[in-house]
Parts: sequence; structure tokens; C-alpha cells
Amino acid sequence: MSSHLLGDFEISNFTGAILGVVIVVGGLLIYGFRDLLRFSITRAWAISSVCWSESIRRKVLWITPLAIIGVIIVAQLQRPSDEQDAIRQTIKFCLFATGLLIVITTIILAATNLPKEIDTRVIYTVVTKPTTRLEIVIGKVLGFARVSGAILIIMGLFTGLYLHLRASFLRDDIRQRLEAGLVNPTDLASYQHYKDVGLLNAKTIEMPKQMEVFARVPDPKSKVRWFSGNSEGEALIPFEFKKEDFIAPDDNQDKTPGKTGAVALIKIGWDQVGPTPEEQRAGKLPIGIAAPDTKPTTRIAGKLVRAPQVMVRVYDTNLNQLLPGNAVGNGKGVDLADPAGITPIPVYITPQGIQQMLQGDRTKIFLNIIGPNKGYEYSIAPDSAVLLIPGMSEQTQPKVLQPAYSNNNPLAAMPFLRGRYGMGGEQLPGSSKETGPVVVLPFSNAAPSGSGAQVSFQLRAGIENSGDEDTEKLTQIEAVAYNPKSGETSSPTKFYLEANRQTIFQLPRGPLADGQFEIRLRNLTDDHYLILRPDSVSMIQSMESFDFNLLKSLFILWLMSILVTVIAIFCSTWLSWPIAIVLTLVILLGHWGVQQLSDTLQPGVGNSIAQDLGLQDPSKAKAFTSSYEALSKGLVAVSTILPDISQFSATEDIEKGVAIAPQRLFDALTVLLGFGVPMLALSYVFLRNKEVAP
Amino acid sequence: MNRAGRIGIVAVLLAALALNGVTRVAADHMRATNTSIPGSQTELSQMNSFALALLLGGLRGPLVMILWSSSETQKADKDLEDFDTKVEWIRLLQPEFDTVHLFQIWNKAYNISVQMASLANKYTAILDALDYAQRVDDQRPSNINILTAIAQVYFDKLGNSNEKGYYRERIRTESKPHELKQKLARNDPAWRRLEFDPILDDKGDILPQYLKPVRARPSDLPAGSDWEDGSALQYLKQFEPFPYGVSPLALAYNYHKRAQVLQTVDHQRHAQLSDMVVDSRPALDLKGWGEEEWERGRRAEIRALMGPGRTIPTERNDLELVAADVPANAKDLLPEAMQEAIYSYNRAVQLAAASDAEYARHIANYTTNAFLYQSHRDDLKAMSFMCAADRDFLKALIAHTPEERVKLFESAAKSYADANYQNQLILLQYYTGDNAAQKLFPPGITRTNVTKLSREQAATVLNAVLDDMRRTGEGIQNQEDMTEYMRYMERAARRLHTIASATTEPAASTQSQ
Repeated sequence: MSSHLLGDFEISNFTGAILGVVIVVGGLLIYGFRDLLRFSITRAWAISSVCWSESIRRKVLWITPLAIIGVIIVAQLQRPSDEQDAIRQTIKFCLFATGLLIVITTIILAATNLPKEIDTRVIYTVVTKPTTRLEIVIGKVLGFARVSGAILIIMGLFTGLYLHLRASFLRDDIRQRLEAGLVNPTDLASYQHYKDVGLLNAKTIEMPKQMEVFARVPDPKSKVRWFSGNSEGEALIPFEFKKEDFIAPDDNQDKTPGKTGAVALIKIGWDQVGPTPEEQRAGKLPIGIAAPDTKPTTRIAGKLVRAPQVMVRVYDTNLNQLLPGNAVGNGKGVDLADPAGITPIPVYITPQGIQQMLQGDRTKIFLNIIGPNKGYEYSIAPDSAVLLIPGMSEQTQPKVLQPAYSNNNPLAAMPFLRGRYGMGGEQLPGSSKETGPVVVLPFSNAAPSGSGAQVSFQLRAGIENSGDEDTEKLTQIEAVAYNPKSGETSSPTKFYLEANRQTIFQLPRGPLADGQFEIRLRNLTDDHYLILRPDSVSMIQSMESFDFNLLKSLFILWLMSILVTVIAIFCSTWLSWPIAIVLTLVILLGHWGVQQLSDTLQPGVGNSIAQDLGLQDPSKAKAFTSSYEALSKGLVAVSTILPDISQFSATEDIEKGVAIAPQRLFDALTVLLGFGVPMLALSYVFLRNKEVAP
Repeated sequence: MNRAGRIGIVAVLLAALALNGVTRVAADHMRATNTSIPGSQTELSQMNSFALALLLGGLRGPLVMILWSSSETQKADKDLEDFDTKVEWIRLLQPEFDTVHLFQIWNKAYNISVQMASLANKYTAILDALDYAQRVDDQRPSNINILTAIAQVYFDKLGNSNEKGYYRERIRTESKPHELKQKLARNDPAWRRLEFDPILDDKGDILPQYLKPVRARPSDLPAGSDWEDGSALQYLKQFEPFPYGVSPLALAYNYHKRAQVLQTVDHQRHAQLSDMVVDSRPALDLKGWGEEEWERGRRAEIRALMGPGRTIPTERNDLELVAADVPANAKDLLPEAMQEAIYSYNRAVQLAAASDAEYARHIANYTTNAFLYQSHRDDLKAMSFMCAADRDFLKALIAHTPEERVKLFESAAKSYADANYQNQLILLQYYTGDNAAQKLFPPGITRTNVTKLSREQAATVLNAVLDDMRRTGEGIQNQEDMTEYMRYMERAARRLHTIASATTEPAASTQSQ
């Protein structure tokens, strides 16, 4: 969603809150002050009991066995990818059925109650008693909340029992298959976890703060870091600046920034770790025939060798290439003559490139350094790059712009190294050698709870391979925990992985105990690439009871049912029941519906629709566009004062086996109170002004 | 509302319901007439579909739309959790649309399996596609579209993809009796496919449940006419036993043959393939299966003659000459591998004949394909001679008596010579350039009638053609293909030399099994 739309939402949310307060103050504290003072919870409870008794008399609870049968039938039609998926899908079916059941039941009961009581004149017996309209409204909300609560208890008990039964059965099967050695190697680590902790759980997850891909395991005593050649690794160095920084130091005239361009002065070292493609080709040629491009160009240690190159590019803060290739180093690679990386090498950035870089409010860029040569690894350190702004005269000392490393954040105190980036994430090349590329994932404030010797981690990553393997070659991963403070490194855990399927592996608690640690992953299978994102790895910080999680989920559903009740009663105070039901649904789904249309409600879309409609006349097109934009804006504004039912997120976390955070409950409660109380006040006002009895 | 009004509404509702029933029956009838494809044969098998429709009321269509788009999005996002469930629901909600099933079978076998990294998981994803097809087949038995889709998965994916070596071996191994990895009951919701089900008994014969006919043969069908009896593996019965498991190409043949017979006898029409394609597939499958057996024979032969420690090349063409020079008195032969090689060569000979018969049948129906498939038939002939020769050569090595040994060597020598002649003809017919043919072929001989050449003539002319090719470069683009045939001829020549040496030695040793 665009920032413009988001801004509108924020403004409207604020307006909505003011509107809510006005309604509550005006309706309850001013208009209904007398009724508020007379309010008796006993009378409201009595009215709620009537609603409850009436619902029981109408055998509303009999619908729950039907829903249970439906769930059991639908659960038979699932085709899970594994046992955990079977449980996940069953949770989904159970909670979806429960939610649907209470919403439909509540809407029908609450929306039809008042109009029917008025039609049948049952309301006479209530309003002729010393009860206020406020007590009637609150009593009815309470009554239907009791009914939905009862449905939730029945469905919750069924859900809990059914899931425990299924999970226990499947866990036994997993145990048997593990004992019989009938589990695929790629499933082994996860199955062991399921066997130990079961399939019903509620995890608290900790995510790494970032992810870096190195060619070698970083040496804690050195500030040098290594990235892979063959374009499989790259370094990103941040620079922050003001426009004035790019004014030539001796420009005393118009002081135009970027007039002299800039020079990236880089110091990159390298190490040959394997044969280059030229050497590979040369090895296959007949004796006496030289490969065409193996001509040595650099003398190192008395020997002429062909130096590797690096390419330098400028990226924006979204890590997209900002400047065209020919603006930096003329788009060509630069030779690295010095393997130690001590000799600085200048890479010129053209004045046009600098002008483009300074467009808009940009104050930050990344210098991207990538090594295209196969068979090499490249080294980089914090002092490996500076930007020089040359003077107009060759004699003038250039200005020096240092990289914008953070002194406070150790994660941003060095050049950032990453793997080759694709659609699915960064690549980690496989290597069966003792050393090889490694992914480092730092965690902070992530001390695992409990006291077990092992801590569980989740990994879900893509795998790329040549695709023409004729024999089974599994992707094996090695994971190690490292504590930078104590220097403690865990023993490695090795496991097999399947593409895009979650695997659970264990690491010793030792290095993880203080919550400040790194997880290092290596891919041990040659020619396989692991595709990772920072959220590919997570730590299971703690486990809570699934039943408690289910309770939280049901509580969120119950809060939603109360909101539905309030809206339905509000609608039924001034509409006939069929229209009240429809309006209730519109109010409930309005906000969500507009969110789904967000792309077509963006500013400027009106123009493109006018073009699609072939409106040639400019005045007609303008009229259409402005009308469309106004209607879109109005729709967005209206939707923002409607309740956001996505805040009643009762199933997403529990399905994934994740503990529902207290924030989720708070969000649901906020929507209920923020929307439900004003609606309650309006219902009271409408009912008080409605002639329900002679 | 008054009573009369209510009665009117009820009457209109009943009339609408009846009209709905009539139009549905009419639509079903029209569809059956146009496609000749039977619908569900058993009402009970559609229970799930009806149950879902009942549960969903009028929301079946919208639900299908949501399921299609969300399952396709999940596939694009490589998020396969509950993907299969959605596809299964689509199947249950749209049971009568063959094209839906064709897409989903292909979708699972190709798009989903390719998302796995491990071959074992790719394999189970493909088996899952076959399970899907099997469930549709249960609901819509003897349906040309579904049977062809099953055959295509066996032939193209399990039999001929890049990973075919792995798939073929697993299908063969798991088609034999074995303990199942999956311990859950098949009707358990969490059940999922982990391996191929056994289809053979201990003797290597097809299990009876796969051969049980479910369609009665019409009494007016002429004797000798083909009839698809609805049994799952009807056309594999003739090839029993299968001591080394069933090849996926054999299964492909079985299903393609069933589809072809349904087209020929029941006049069913495939929704996407032409009649000619459906009709040609059994011959191609048998040829592919025969070639697989030939390759298996080569590998088993290398193991048998050169010991289990010998590295076996992965490329098919590199297998020809590895064991070509094994002497006639070779010792320490591995008996099991010998038996396997002899079986495979013999099966290849049998399949060459069966495939040729299928080609002949197909060409009789579609004469326009005669020229296209002539090269296939010639290849089959050469393969048949070569495999018969190899079979007899191996049998001779383990013959119990000198007489039997000599007889088998003679038979092998004759077949090797036939194979050589056939390969020479193939090279002259299909790989000789026009100019070379005009220049070097004897008068009256063209590329279309090279079979008129005697054996001696064929060898001489071929040598001249090869010399000319080396000199002028004409036809050099065919060198790679020609090398394949030259290797066969080289192998045959070496074996003929071995046989000649063995049969001239007075005391040729024999080796008992």
C-alpha cells in the first residue's frame, strides 16, 4: 500500500477515534446520562438470560455437532505433505469451522432478535418493566456473548480432543518409522524433533538480526572478511553524504556538486583457491597448445600471473543498482595487482553519475564490489574503500568521504557481505571441502528458555542444482553456534535438507545461553546452492502449552463474536432483520474489502482507467478521473472507520505452531472496544428513539 | 402471504428443480454422445463429490475458483503445504472435467516434482501425480484421457527424464514384493505416498487384483479383436514373469495400449491428442522398453564378465565396448549378473518383435506414418539381432557341454553377422548423403532399396561411403549418430573374432553355472 494511502488511513483512524469518543460521550454520558446512572447489571443479566434461554430453546447449540461432523468429513479429504502439515491443516479446519459457526450464528441470532420481539410484541413485556433501553442493549449483547461462548466451549473441547488424538496417533507412527529406519534422510532431523516434543506445540520464535554470506568463516581476531569470486559473493560499503560533500574543494565559483565526479579508492585483496576456467581449459588441451587467454599480466613473488578483477557499482538503499555501468569505472573490471589488498586502486565515477546519485533527497548509497573471477576469493576490511572528491586542479588535495559504519552497532561496523542475490534470496554455494562459504546469522537478546542440553532451530530454504542428477545426491548442511563474547563454538550439527520444506535441527545450548550468538551454516554438497533469506532460520526460544494457545485463539474468536453481536444489534435497532444481516456483513467486511482493492484505489489509477475506457475528450477524461479519485478517496475514508477484522487473527499463529503473542489479544480487544462501544452507544440511542411499544 | 401465494412459490420451486434435473440429464447425454467417454461407473465412488456439493450448497463454483487461484499462487511461491489438499478438493469439486485432471496430473508430475531437490522426494511427487490419476481412474474407469495421462507420466517422467536412472530402478525394485515404509492406513487423512506399491508376486507375476477384468467383452465383438477389459495391467500379462521388476516403460505401454484399444474399439477420442498419436504410442513404448532392457543387459554383462568392482560408464554409448573383448574362456563369472543379462537380452528380443508388430498395426491404420517409423523398425531389427547374439554368446560362456557351447556360439555368430549387416544398411539408408549415394552405390541401388545389397556389397559400399565422407566432409554432421552404429558393429566384429578363436580351439573350456 502506498504511503499516501497509508497516510490517509492514519488520518482517518484518528478521525475515527475522535468520532468514537464523540458518540460515546454524546450518546451515553450526555444523552443517556440518566439511564447510565440507573444502569443495573442484575437487570441486564436477566435480559441476557432471556436471550440465552431463547437461544437454547431454539436448539442453537445443536448446530455444533453438525459443524463437528463437517470438520471430520473435510479432514478426511486432506492430502498433507507430512505429519506436521496434517496437524496444521486439521487445526485450520477446526478453527475455521468454529469461527464461521459463531459468526453466522451470532449474526442471525442478534440481527433477528429485536425485530422479531417487536413483531411478536414480546418486547412489550420488557419495556413495560422498569428496565432502561441501555440495559436492554447491553443485556442482549451479554446474552449472545454467552451463547457464542457456549458454542466456543463445545467446539474448543472438540478441537482440543480431536487434535490430541490425531497428534498422538501420528506421533506413534513417526516413532515406529524412526525405529524401523523408514524415514527419508531429508525428514530425519524434523521427525526426531516431532518424536521428542510432539506435533502439537506453541513455539516462541526468535529471528536473526541480519544475514551475511562469507567465503570463509570470519576470524574474530581480524577485521578482514572474505567474499567469493565467480560473482557468488559481493561486498556493500555504506556512504552517507550531503550534496555539498560533492562540491570540488577548489570550486569557488558556482559550487555545483559533482562537477569533478568522484573516485572510489578501493583496497581489495585476493587469494586463488581453485583453478581458474583458463587453467581448467589449459589442463584439457593437448600438450603444446596454449589456452587463448592465459597471458599473465602481473608479476607476483617473481612470477607472472593473471590478476583477478573486481567490478564496482553504486547501489541505492534498496540495494538496486543506481548508476549505469559506464558511470563507474567505465563499466569495466579493474585488475587487482596486489593480493594483500594494500595498494589502493582508483575507480572513477563520472560527473553525470554523481549528478544522478544526488537527485532527490538521497543521502545514502552503497558501494558494491563484486569479484567476477572463478577460482578466487576476495578480502575486504573496514578501511578498504573511501570516496575522493577531486579538485578542479590536479594540485588540489581531494576531499575524503569515509564509509558510514556505525560505532554503536557492531552489525553495521564492517562492510556488509552477501551472496549472489536472486528472486528467492541469497545463494550459499556448496563445498565438500573442509572450508567453504558460510552464512552467518547473528542473534541478540535471544537467550533460549528451559534447561535442555539442546536448543532447536528451524530452517526453510530453497535449493538449486543442475537438475540432471541421475543418482541421489542430498543437500547436506552443517550448522554451528558461535558466541563472539566467549569465543565458544559448538560442535557441528549435520543434517539433510529438502527445498522449501522446514527442517528442525538442534544445537548445544552452551554458546547460546546468553542470547548473543551467531549461527553459522555451511552447505556441504558440491554443485548445490542453498537459497536463504534472513528469515529462513529461526530459533525456537521457548515452548508453551498448545491448549493454552488454543484458549487464546478461542478467546480472540469470542471477542470477534461480541463485535459481531454489537454490530448486528445496532443494525437491527433501525432496520428489518434481512437488511440488518446484510448491513452487518458489509460493516464487518468493508474494511477488509477496501484493503483488497488497494491497488485500484491508488491515486492516479483514474487516469489509466480513463485511458483504458478510450476517453479521448480531455474534459470528459478529467471529469471521469476526478470523480473516480474522489470516490476512491471517499471509499478509503469510509473503510477506515469500519472495524478491521484482520486484527482478530485467531488462526495464523496457532496453525504454524507459534504461540499467540499478547499483542494479538490486545489488538483484538482494541478493535472491539474502539468500534464496539460507540456502536453500543448508537444502538442505545436508536432504540431509545424507536417506538417499540404503545 | 396467503396460502395460494405460498403454493405458487412451492410449485415454481419444484418446477425449477425438475427442469434442472432434465437439463442436467440432457447435458450428460449430449456429452456422452459427443465424446464416447463413459462417466462414473459407480455411484459410490462419487460420494465425496456429492458430499462436498451438499455441504457447500451453491458455493461450489466460487470455491473452485478460489482453490485454483490459491493453489497456483502457492505453487509459484513454492509453498507446498496444503497444496495437495487444494488440488484434491478441486478434483472432488470438478470430477467430470477431464481437462482439469489432465492439467493437475501434469502439474503434479512436472511443476511440483521439480520443486524438490532430493530425487526421492521428486519421485514421490511423481507417484503422487499417479495416485491422483488413479483416483480419477477409479471414478471414471476406462477413460482414454486419464489412461493416456498415466501412460505419459510413466513414459516421459519416470522412464525418460534426466533422472530416469533413479526412477526406473526404484519402480523396478518397488514393483516387487517388499515391506511398505508407510505404516498408516491408506484411508488415514495423514497417509501420503512414500513408495510404489508392489504389483508382482514372489514369482514375478502380476498380482491378480491388477488383472481382474471389470468390463465384459461384448458378444458381438469379432473373435481376435482387441478389447480393453478394464483391468489395470491387462497388457502386461503377456510378458510375465518379471523377475527383475516392472519397468516404468512397460507400465507406459500397458496404459497407452489400453487407451489405443479404447480409441480403436470403443471409439473414444482424446481431448488433446490426435487419433494418430494415440495409436502410435504402444509401439514407441515397447521400443523404449526394449532399449532399456538392452542397456540393462549391457550393465549386467559388464558386472558379470568384469566383476562388481568395475566402474560402469553412465553414458549408454560408452557401454558397448567395455566387455566386448572378454575371451570365450573367461573365468569367475558372476552367475546372478549373467542370468540377469541373459534375461534382459532375451526380453529385448521379445520386445523388438512385439514393438514391430505394433508398428505394423499402426502403419496399417495410418499409412502416412510408414516412412516416419521405418527407421524405428530398422533399429528394432538391428537391436533384435544384436541382443539375440549377446544372449547366445553369454549362454555359450556358461554352457554345460562343449556341443551346446559350439551351437550357441554359432547361433551368436550368425546373429552378430545379421546385426552388422542390418547396421550397415541403416547407415547406408539414413546417413549417406545424396551425392555419395549417387556416386558410390552400385547401379540400380538407391538409398530406398539398399536391402538389395548383399552382405559383402553392403560392407564394401559402406567403407567407400565412409572414406568419401572423411575426404569430402559431406554428411559429417551425422557423425555422432553414425558413431553409435559403428560402435555396435565394432562390438559385433570383436565378438565374432572371439567366437572364431574359440570355435577353432580344440579344447574350448566350459564353465558350469
